[in-house]
Amino acid sequence: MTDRKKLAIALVCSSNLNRSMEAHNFLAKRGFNVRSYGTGERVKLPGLTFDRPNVYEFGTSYEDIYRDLESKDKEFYTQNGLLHMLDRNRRIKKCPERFQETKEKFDIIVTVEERVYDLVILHMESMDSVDNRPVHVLNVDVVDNHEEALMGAFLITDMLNIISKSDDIDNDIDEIIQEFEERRNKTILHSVMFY
Amino acid sequence: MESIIARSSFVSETANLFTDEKTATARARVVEWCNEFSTASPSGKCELLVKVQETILGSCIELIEEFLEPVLSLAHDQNMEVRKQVVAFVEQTCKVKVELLPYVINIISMMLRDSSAQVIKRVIQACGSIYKNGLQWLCTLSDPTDSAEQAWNVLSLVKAQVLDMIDNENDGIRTNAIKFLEGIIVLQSYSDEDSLKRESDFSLADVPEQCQLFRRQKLQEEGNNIFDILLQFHGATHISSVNLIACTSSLCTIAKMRPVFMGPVVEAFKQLNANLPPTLTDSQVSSVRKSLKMQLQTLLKNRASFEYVSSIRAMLLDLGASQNEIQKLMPKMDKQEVARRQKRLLENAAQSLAKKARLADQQKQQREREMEIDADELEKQRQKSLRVNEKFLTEHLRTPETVINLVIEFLPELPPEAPAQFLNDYTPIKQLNMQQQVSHISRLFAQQLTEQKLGPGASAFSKEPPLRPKQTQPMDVDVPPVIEGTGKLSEEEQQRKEEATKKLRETMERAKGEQTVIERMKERAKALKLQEITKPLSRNVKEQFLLGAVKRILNSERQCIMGGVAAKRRKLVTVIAATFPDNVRYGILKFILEDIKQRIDLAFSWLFEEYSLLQGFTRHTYVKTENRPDHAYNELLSQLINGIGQRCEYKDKIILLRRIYLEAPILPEDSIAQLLQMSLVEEFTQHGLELVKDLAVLRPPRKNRFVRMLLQCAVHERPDLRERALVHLVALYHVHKILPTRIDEFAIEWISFLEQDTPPNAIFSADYGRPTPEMAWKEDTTKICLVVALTLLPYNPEVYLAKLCQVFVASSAELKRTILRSIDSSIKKLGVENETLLKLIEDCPKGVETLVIRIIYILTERVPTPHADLVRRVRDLYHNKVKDVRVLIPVLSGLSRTELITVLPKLIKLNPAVVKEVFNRLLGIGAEFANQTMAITPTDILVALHTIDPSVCDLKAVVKATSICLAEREVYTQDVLIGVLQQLVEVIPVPTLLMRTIIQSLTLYPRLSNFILNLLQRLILKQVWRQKVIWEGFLKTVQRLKPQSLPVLLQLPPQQLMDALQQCPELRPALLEYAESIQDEPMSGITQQILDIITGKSVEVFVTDESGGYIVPDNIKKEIEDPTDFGIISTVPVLASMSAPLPVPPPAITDLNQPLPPGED
Repeated sequence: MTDRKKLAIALVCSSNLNRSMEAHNFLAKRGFNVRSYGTGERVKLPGLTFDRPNVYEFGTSYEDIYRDLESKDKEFYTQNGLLHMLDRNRRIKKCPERFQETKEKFDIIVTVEERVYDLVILHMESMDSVDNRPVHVLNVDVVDNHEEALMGAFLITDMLNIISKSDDIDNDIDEIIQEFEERRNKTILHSVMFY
Repeated sequence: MESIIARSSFVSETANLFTDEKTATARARVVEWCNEFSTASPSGKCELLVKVQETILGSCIELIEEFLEPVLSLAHDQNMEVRKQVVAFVEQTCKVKVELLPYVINIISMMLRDSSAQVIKRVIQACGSIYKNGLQWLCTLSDPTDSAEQAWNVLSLVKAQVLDMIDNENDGIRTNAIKFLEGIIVLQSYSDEDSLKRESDFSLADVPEQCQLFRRQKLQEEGNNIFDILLQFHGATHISSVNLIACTSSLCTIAKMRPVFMGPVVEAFKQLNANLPPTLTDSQVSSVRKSLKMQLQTLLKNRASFEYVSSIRAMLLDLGASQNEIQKLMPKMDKQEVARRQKRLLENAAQSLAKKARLADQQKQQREREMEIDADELEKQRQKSLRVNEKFLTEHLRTPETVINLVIEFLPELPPEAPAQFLNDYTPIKQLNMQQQVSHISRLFAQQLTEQKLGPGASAFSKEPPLRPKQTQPMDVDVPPVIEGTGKLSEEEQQRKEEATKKLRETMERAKGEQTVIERMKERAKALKLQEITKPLSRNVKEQFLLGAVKRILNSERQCIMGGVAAKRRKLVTVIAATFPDNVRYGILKFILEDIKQRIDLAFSWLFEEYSLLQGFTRHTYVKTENRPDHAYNELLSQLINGIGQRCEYKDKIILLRRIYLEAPILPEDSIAQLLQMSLVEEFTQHGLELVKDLAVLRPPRKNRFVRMLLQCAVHERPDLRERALVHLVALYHVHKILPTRIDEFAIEWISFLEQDTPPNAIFSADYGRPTPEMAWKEDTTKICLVVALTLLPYNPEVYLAKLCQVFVASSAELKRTILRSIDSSIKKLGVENETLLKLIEDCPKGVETLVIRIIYILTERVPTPHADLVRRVRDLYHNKVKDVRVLIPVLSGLSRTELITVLPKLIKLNPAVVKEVFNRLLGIGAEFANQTMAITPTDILVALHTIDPSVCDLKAVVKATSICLAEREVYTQDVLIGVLQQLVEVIPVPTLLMRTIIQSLTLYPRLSNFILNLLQRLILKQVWRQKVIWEGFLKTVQRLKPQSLPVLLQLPPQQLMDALQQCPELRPALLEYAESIQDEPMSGITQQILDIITGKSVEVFVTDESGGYIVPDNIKKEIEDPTDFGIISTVPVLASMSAPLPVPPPAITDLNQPLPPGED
C-alpha cells in the first residue's frame, strides 16, 4: 500500500479546464497528492460561434476567464456549462498551468488523449534526465465534454486507487494495467520516462 | 546516541571558537535535530533529515563532515522511507562536495543490498549522479590518495552490482538499472561533432590522458561491453513492456549523445520492430510501437543518423508516419555536407572491414601465442588498405568532374621535365577501355596512398604496429592497463600497484560474495570464443554426456571420502543440482533419496544453494524459467519431505523430518501443509505435533502459522489429535509464551460459539475433520468448542473464568449441563488456592450459581478438609448471596459443629438423593468420604435430628433422615445408639420421635432391651403420658418388651396405668398374672386399687380431668424456659424461635405428627 499522499500525480489534458480538472477534483477529494496541467499552446474555450473560440494565455486565472465570459454572454455560457465548470475550477486552484513549464516531478502522469500523451512524452524526452527518477506516463482516452469528463474522472480515480494499493508500483504496474484494461475494456498507453 | 550527546557537549564548548555566527546557530540547530533522531517517528526522522540536509548542504557546507556520521547511521534505520532519505542526503552530498565520496560510497554499496526494493531503486537512481560526479572528481586528482583509490574501487563495485541488477526479478529495479547503465555508457565513450550537446555532458575526452586511477581505453572498453549487454537485454524475448520502453529510450539517448553507437542502436530497433516480444499485450504493443516511433523520430533529427536514413524511414513508415512528416524531421544539410558525410560513410565501411580483420588476426595471435611483432599482419593491413583506397579512387575517378578538377589542380605542379626515375619506371599505358583505365590508375594511386598511410584505407592500419598477444586481450579489464607508450611509471611500480588493487578488489569481492562485472564479461568473452572454434554437439549427445558426467560424480561417493575431497564433491553436486536442467536435478534427487539417511548433508547443501539462488546471495548464469523464482526451492523441499515420508523407517523418518523442518532456511506453505497431512496419520501424530510446536518456538517468523496449525488440531474431530495438540499448545502458551494473545483469541472465539443457538458453520470444516454441518448442538461438538478454553483456563484464569461465566449464562440448558460436566479437570488443575477462582466463588454473578456450586464440588472432591479460604467464601456466599443450602454441601466437612447443626434442618428437606449424599458426607460413608473429618459426631447428628423443631422442618423429613442414619449400622452401632438415647431421654420436652427411635433401635439391636427398660422407667419419671404420641410409643414399647416390661408398667401412676390398659387391653391378663405373682412379696407396692385397675373394675373412678390427662403443648413449653438444663441444644435456632412473637402452631394439630407404626422400617 503506497501512501496516497506520497504518490505525486499529474493529470494532463490540453487546456487544463475540463478533463484534467474534473479528475483533479475527484482525486483531491480522495486524498491524492495531485496536480493538473494542459499541454496546448494556449487555453482554448468554445466561443459564441464555432470559428471564434475564446483563447487565453496559460496563467490567466479561472476567475478572470469567468468574469470575461460572464461579461460576454452570461446566459449562453451558463447554458453550455462553461461558467459552471470555471466556477468549480476556481475553487480548486488559481489558474490553468502548462505542463511543459512546470518544474514539478511526479510519480505518475495521466493523460486523457493520445495527442496529449505524445506531447508529454516528447517533452519528457527532450529534457536531460538528472535524477534518473522514473515516472509512469499513462493515457486513458476521455472525450472532451462534460459527461465524458465525469466518466473519465471515475475511471482515472479507479485506476489510481488500484495502483496506490500496490506496495511496489514499478514492479506491479504492468499487471495492474493489464487487469484494469480487461475489466474496463479500455486501452491504456503506458510508458516509463525519467526525470 | 551516546556519541551524539558527547558530540553536542563538545560542540557547545568549541562553538565559541567560531566567530561566524551563522555557522554557530546552524550547528546548534543541527545538533538539536540530530539528537531528536533517536526519539522521532519514521516520518519525523525524514523531516529532520530534510532539514539537516537543507541546512548543511544548502548553506553551511563546512558542517558536513561533523554531522556525516549521525546521518549515515540512519542508513540502518528500520523504516525504508528514512533509508531513502539518507540516500537522497548522500546523493546531494556528492553533488555539493564530491570530495566526501570516499566517506559515503561504502554506504551506497551497502544499501544496494537493502532488503527493500524501494530503497534499492532509490540507490540506483542516486548512483547515476554519484558515479558521474565521482568520475569527474577522481580524474581531476593528480596525485590520488589511498582513500580516493579505494573510493574508485568501491565505485567500480557499485557499477558491477547495478549491472547485475538488470537480471533482478523486480521490474522496477531492472528499469532503474537500465537508466543507470545508460549514464555509464554515455560517460565512458567519446562524443563527436554530431553529439547532442548538453551542458553537463562529460565524456571520455574530458578524462585526462594521464589520469592515475584509470585509463580511457579501459573505461571505453568497459562502456562498450555494457552497451553490448544493454543491447542483448533489449533484444531478449521475454522482456517486460516497461523495461523495453525504458531500454529503447536509453538506447536512443545513447545514440544521440554518442553517435558512434548509432549503427547498433538502429539495428536493434530494426530487430525490435520486426519481432516484438510475444509476451506483450495488445495495448502494450501499441505503447511500445508508439515509443519506438518517437525514438526513431528523434534519431532522425540527429545528423549522425545520416547513413541510416533509409532504414529509419522504412521503420517509421511501418509505424504509421507519413512521408511528409519524415521529410520534415530530416535535418537540413547543404550539398557539401552531404558529400562529406557520404565520404565518411565509405571510410567507416573500410574501418569496419579493417576492424574485423584485426580482430580475426588478434584471435589468431592469441591462439598461436606469438610474441614478436608480426610482419604478416603488417602485410595484411597493407593489402587491405590498398584495396580500400583502390575502391575509393575507382568510384571517384568515374565522375569526369573530379578527374578534371584533379588534373587542373595538379597540372601546374608538374616538373617541366620528366624525372629520370619516371622515365625508367614508366611503361606506356596500353590501349584500354574506360573501365580498365580507371581501375589501373586507381591501383597506382592507391599504392602510393597506402605507402604514405593516407586515404580511407589508412584506417586499416592499427595505430601501433600489430600487438603482442598479451596486450591484445581486449576484455581483460581486471588487470589495470599495461603500459602502452605511457612509460611514465616503471614496470615494477605499475605491477606493485596492480597487485594492491587486485588484492583489495579480491578481498572485497570475496567478502561480499559478489561476482564482478569483469568476471561476467570474461565469461561472455570466452563463451563467444568457444562457439567460434567448436561445432555445437547435438542436444541429445550433450544431454547424454551431461548425465553421464553427473552420474560419475555421484557414484564417486566412496572414492571421494577416501580421497578426502568429500566436501568438494558435495559442493560440486550442489551447484550442479541447483543450476542444471530438470533431468539432471531429478537424477540427483533420486540419488539422494536412495539413501537419504546417509546423504542428508548433500540434500541440505543443495537446499541451501537453492535458497541462496532464490535470495540472490549466490549467482549463477542460470536459465530463466517460466516458474516462480521460489519454484525450484519449494519443489526440492517438498520432494525431500515426500521421499523421507515414503522411504524411511519410522525412527529415521522422525529424525530426518525434524531436521528438514528445523533446518530448512525457509518453509513455504506447501511444506507446512505436508507436515499437517503427515500429522494426521496416526502413527506420526505425536511426533508431528511436537515438531509443529518446536517449529513455533524455533522459527519465530512463521510462528503464527504453526500456532494456527496446532489450534486447528486442537479442535479436530479426532480426540487423540486434540489431546496432543492441546498439550503442545499449553506449552507454547504457558512455557514459551508464544503468541498467547492469538491463542486466547482462538479459544475465546470457539467458546463463544456456544452462545449461539445452533452450531455455527465455522466449526464444520474438512480441516477440523468434520465436514458436514450439524443443525443442533451435540455433546461432542460442544465439548470441542470448550476444550481449548478449558485447557488454557488454569494458565489464565482471569480471562477464561470470566468468559466461561459469560458463555454459561448465555447458553441453553443442554449446553449448561455439558459445560458443568466438562470443567472438572481444569478447575482441579487451577486449584483451590487460586485467587481468581475464589473471587468468582465469592462474587457468584447472577446466572452462574449452578456453575459455582459445581466448581465448589470439584474443589472439595476427595479432600479430607476443604481449604479454609474456600469454606470462608462459600459460607459468605451462602449467607449473603445464594441462599441455597446446597452450596454448603461440598464444604460440610469444613463447617463447625454449630453451623452444621444449624443447617441440618435445611439439608434434610432436599430431595432424597441429595439427602442421602449429605448423610454420606456427614457420616463419612463410602470410599469417597471415608477420610473426611467432620466437626460433628454421628451421635450429635442423631441427637440434633431429634431436637429439630417440627415447625422448622416437617417431621416426615426428619423421620426419613433418622431412618437413613439408623440404616448405617456400621456407624450407629449399639454403643452409639445407647449414647444417643441416653442424651435424648434427658431432653425436655421429650423429642417426638424418641419412642420411634427407641423401637427401631430395639429392632436393630434386641440386646438393648434391658437398657431400654431402664429408659422407660426414666420416662415415667418424666411423665411420659403427657405427650400423646410419645405415650402411644411408650405403650408399644412396653408391649414389645413384655413380660420384662410389666414391672415398668406397674410403676405408672394408677390413672395412667388405667389409661394404658384401656389402650392396650391385651396387656391386662399378663399384668394381672404378674401383679398377682408378686403381690405377696414385700415392697411390691401392689395395692388393691392397682389390682382393680388391672382387672378393670374401677374404670370411671379416676376420670376427672377433661383433658384426659394430657397437657396442652403450651404448658410444656413453659416448663422448658429455663435453658440451663440442656446447654447442648440451647443455641439451636429451633428453640430460639420458640420465644419468637409469632405463635407456633401446636404440633398435635397436623397428621404428620403421628408416629409411624413401630418396626415399620
